Amino acid sequence: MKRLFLLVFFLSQSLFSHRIELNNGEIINSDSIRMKNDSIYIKDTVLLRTDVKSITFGEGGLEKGKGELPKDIKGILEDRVKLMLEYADFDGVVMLDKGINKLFSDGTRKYEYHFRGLVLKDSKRSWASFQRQFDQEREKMKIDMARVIKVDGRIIPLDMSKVTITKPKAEGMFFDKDKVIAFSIPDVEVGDIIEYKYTEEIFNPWDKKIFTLGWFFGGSEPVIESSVEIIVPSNSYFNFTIKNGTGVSINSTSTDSTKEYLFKKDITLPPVEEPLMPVTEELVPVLRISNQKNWNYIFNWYADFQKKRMDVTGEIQHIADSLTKGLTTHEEKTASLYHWIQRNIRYISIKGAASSGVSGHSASETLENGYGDCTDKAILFSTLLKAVNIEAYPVYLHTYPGPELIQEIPSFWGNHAIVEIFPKEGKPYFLDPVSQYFRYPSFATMDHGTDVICAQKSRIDFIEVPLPAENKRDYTYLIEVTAYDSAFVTFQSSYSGSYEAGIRAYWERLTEEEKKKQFEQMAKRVSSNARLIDYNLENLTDIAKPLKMTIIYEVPKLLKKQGELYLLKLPELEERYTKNELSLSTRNYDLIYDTSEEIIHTFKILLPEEIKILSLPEKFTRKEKNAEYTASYMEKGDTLIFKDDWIRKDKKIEVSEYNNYKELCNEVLNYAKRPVIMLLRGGK
Amino acid sequence: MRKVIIFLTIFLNIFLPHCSKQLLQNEKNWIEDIIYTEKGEEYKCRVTKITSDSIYIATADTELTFPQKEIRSIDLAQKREGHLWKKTTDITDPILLQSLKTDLSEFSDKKYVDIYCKRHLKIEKDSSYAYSIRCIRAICSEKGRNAGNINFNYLSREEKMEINFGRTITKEGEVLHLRENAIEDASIYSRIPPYENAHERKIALREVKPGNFLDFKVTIYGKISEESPFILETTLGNAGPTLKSIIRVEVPRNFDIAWQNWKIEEPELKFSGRNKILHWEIDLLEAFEDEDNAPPKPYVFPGITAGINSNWEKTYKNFNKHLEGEYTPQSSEPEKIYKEIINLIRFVDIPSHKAACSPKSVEEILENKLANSLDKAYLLYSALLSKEHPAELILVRSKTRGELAKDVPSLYQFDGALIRLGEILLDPSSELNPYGYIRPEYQGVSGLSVTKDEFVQIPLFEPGKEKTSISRIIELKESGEAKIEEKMKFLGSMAIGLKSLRYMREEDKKNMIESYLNRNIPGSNITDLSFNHIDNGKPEVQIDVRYTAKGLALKQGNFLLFHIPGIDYSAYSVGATERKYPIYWGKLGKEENEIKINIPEGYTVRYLPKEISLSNPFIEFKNTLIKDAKTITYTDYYIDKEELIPVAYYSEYKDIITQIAELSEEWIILEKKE
Repeated sequence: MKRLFLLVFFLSQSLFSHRIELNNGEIINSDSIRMKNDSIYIKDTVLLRTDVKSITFGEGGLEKGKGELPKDIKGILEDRVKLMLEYADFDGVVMLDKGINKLFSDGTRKYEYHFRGLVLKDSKRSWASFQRQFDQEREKMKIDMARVIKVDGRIIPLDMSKVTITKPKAEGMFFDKDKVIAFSIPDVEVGDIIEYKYTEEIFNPWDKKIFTLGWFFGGSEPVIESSVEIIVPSNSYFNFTIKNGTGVSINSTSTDSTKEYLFKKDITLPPVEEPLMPVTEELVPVLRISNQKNWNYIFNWYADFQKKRMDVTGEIQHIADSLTKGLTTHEEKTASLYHWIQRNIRYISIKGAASSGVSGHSASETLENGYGDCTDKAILFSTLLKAVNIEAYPVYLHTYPGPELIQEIPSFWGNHAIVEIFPKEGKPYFLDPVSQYFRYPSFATMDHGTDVICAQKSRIDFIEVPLPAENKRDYTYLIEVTAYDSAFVTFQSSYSGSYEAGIRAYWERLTEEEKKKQFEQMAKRVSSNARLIDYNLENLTDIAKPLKMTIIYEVPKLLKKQGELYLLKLPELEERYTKNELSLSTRNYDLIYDTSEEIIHTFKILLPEEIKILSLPEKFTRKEKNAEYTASYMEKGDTLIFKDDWIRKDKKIEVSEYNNYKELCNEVLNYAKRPVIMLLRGGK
Repeated sequence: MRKVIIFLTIFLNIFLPHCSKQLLQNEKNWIEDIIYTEKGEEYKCRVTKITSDSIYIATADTELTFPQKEIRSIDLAQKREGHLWKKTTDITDPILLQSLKTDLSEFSDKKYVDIYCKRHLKIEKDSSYAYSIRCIRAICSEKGRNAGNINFNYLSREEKMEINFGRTITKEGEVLHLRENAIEDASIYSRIPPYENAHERKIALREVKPGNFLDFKVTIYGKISEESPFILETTLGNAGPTLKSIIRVEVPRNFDIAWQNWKIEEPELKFSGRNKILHWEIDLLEAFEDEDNAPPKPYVFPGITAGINSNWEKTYKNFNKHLEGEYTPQSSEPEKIYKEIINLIRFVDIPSHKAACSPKSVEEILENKLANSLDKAYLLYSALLSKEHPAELILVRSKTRGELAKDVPSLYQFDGALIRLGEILLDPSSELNPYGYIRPEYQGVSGLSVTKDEFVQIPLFEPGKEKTSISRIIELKESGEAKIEEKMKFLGSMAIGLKSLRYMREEDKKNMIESYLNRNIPGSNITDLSFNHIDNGKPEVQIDVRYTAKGLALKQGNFLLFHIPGIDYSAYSVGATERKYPIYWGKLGKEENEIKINIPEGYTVRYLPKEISLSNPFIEFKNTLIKDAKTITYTDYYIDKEELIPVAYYSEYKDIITQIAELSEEWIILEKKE
């Protein structure tokens, strides 16, 4: 009851009152606030400083609308009947998806949104639970109306007193100031239409001079009508582009004070899910707009924040010097600092204002805390490099999967920060210090093949997908077959690139006991009778050195005695070349991997004298545009040698190449499954 | 005035970063308020005064004044216990000082060690309580770095939480206090306002690295009442070992305490002033080891449930006060009433002990058209009663939370509800649940019938009710390619999962099944597909599919070689030589396969895998292989007879699984006779 009282109290407050959040989570709003000698005076209440968590001056919040209803119910109900028949296979249909964005001359802005959706299956009753994240320090939300239109035409409005504002739970390492406004529209059943409208007033945008936005004309359900109206002051520069934009209509008008643009698209069907397909944002029509003619203002805005944070303090200089002491080359110094920051600054993301949002905290603060997020670590790493005279800057990108950068539309694009390094000789290159496991010069695959914004150098660069050899797995097996069918296997693997980081991450978290069990299980995966003898992970925690894995195990029945025949299938080969992403006979969209890859196997099998080889799989060679494979067996006395080399050159397989690629992969898989057929000498 | 403001604005932008730096450099333990400016910057300082138009701040060596309109918001730092400690030498807490001397050399392979962990519940005469948790933790290796991200849950409507302190003591002897911006309070179910109550407060401690110590304490305050029947319910143990674990429950002498404990000795009863105290203490509790198919923690670690003594009669009477609503369903037949309720109300999977222990009113449930297990069961109960069916409402506790403490009456022990109607039990949660189906989390648990005031044992479904049956007819060609006709029948949880396919469109369903088939038989392409019973309330789901599979068999010389198609039993789950914990399946189950392979003309069977028949109290398996001139017929069945395989039986279980897995590695060899 107390909580309800507080909420009602909160809702009834005028906009731009001050908000006092207490340590016990309670919120008090007040038009006046004073503080003296650790006492805080609000209205007729005195609070102790120790009771108060935060004070926000002139904050936004929530305003409830009058819930006035459009008078077009008849038309909506008529549409429903048609849509229910036409889209019966879908779980819901978005009937209306309409936005209006207004930029005012003082840089503030307003966004109005109107949604209407028809629930066709139970799963879309979840539309009744509305949730939107917002920042009370910058935005004011108004729920204009929310209702359900029942099958029989009854209209049930949302009781506005049931709208809540709470802090949503995020993963353990994320801390920010965002809140969530939520409500559940009551009495929603299959066949009903859910409708809501809200207005978002952004009275304190990150930067009043930058106005950019994106609009998707489709999503994961059919969208019958999607439109967005952009209204900007007549003297504003305005640029836009539409990607995948077939069928988007554009109308523009102007008044004395404004320019108005209406973008509209009717009927957009959602893509059918496919394994490793591009993100939906890349497949549906999307509008991007910006009021920036070029990137200069955004570059400067980012760069100003960054520069202030990249101060080489005494402590930073000391750490940089001590970590690079005795090292002479650019690579040695960079690698040392890269490995140190990964291992010593743990990932915690704390976002407060715009500055920490885009540029993180100062290098010295991150160093002192021992934690930070991608922006914090990018700032600190760049500053450490600066301390040893290596030119490097934090750069922004959008990790894959995510929308690609549209260069002609300057915007706040990206969700990640890494570091671009400019060596005195050679091309600029990239390192991502956010992880804990990458050996120089490899970095996370989510960054591969994307644009980056280097604000301090005022340039946009591109991260190339590394060559397959830079993402290589090298497996060797020495197999000693004894007593006809038993075998001792010595397996060794080494890696380059991101795969090594993944292996380190997996094994480092385990204790020795846990590792042993995992290795025992790995041996069992090779063969149900396998018995682990020994294992080793060389350089597991020293990320500066290559990781090498060794597993020694015994397999009592590696050669399968099937009647008089002995069949030897090379361990693990089939599993490594099984590609579940190729499950579809045809595809509509490109197949997108994380990055390139190369896999090399070398098997050396020592056979007992009594065994003779009856049939060996023939040599295999096939080359396609994106991938190639070679493999061969060779018999040398009592030793059988197998070598292969699988290469996928890029991360993307275009639809037009899918069939060839799939055919190649299936052939590779079938080859990998082929056994060597043997007999006891003298047998038939 | 304007000039001053302009000056201060510039000063703010230019000077503050330096102030902040000086603060950081010189006064690491300065209590740091954070001010956020309108321009998007944020600085650390100490706010000393706020007037109607100005903010006054102090730094380590100066004081400044700013116009309020330049400042967007302020985070005020708190003085927490020990906030003035800067070096180890400042520390006055003897427990912490003693803990810092701990020899950690034997734990270098662990993530961390909880050197001291104390949970203390103190209940006052007026039934108010304070429940505190204090932990002193040493970071032992790189893998313990995330041990400084800590969270605590509480119920925001009934409780308040305080972070008493959080600090890192570095191996160099510095004390680094928790920063205000590294504390966050969040709602766990913010998306579902009608059930919004459970909150999480999380903190991120600084400099969490090997050799450093963490020390943190939180206290939760509340008051025990009919609506808030708080009990202490804790399972000890963590990802790191605990050297000393103390649990104390303190109440006034005239209060009765009820408790129940597992895998721990009975507590010592102590008296202190006007209070009596139950005291549990454990020295060296091992870390929870990462093991595949390990049971939930309460199955293997010590647990304690304790609270003020009450009785179940009082508990259910209080609960029953909330059961006065009425709902008249459209039909009189129980099965139709069940279908009406599960389809009418959208299920939200929010445990009742994290929202409210008593149900909402019938009116509210109907208005929301969404409900958790308790509320949905209550609505069904009302509907059945209105048609004079003798329904019982049974409160249940999911398996993952451990055993019901029957000696400690409290509604907090339950998290969901079922309905009993004669011999039939109903779980009206998901709209996909067939009549009579109970989710595995509530199978085999104890419940409380609030209708009859008696404990009820919910049965564990027999394997035949959690069954998968596959029938596969394969037309094998000489090229190794095959045409396959397959019928898959599912019962139980697999069927429930597949019933959610009803929400997908045809193309998505086909892609999903094709992906599934390819995992079993790579290179499969579907030619025909149909689904049965995914849209209705029948307990089973059947999928009929025809497909081709390239390279099902490998042609090598005169031989055609292949494994038993689609049979992929693995010994991976029994890979470990020994286990620390039992294997936990959480339910029983049965799998049946019948595969008929029509072999190509001109080929004969050169080799067939073996037949085996194995059985023990935990598992049963049998296969057969019959061949004639044109056909090979394979059949098998596999039964999980227990949901938990004790460690003592692991070796025997492992042997059986290994023998079954060998079958998947066996080849069928066909040979062409010239």
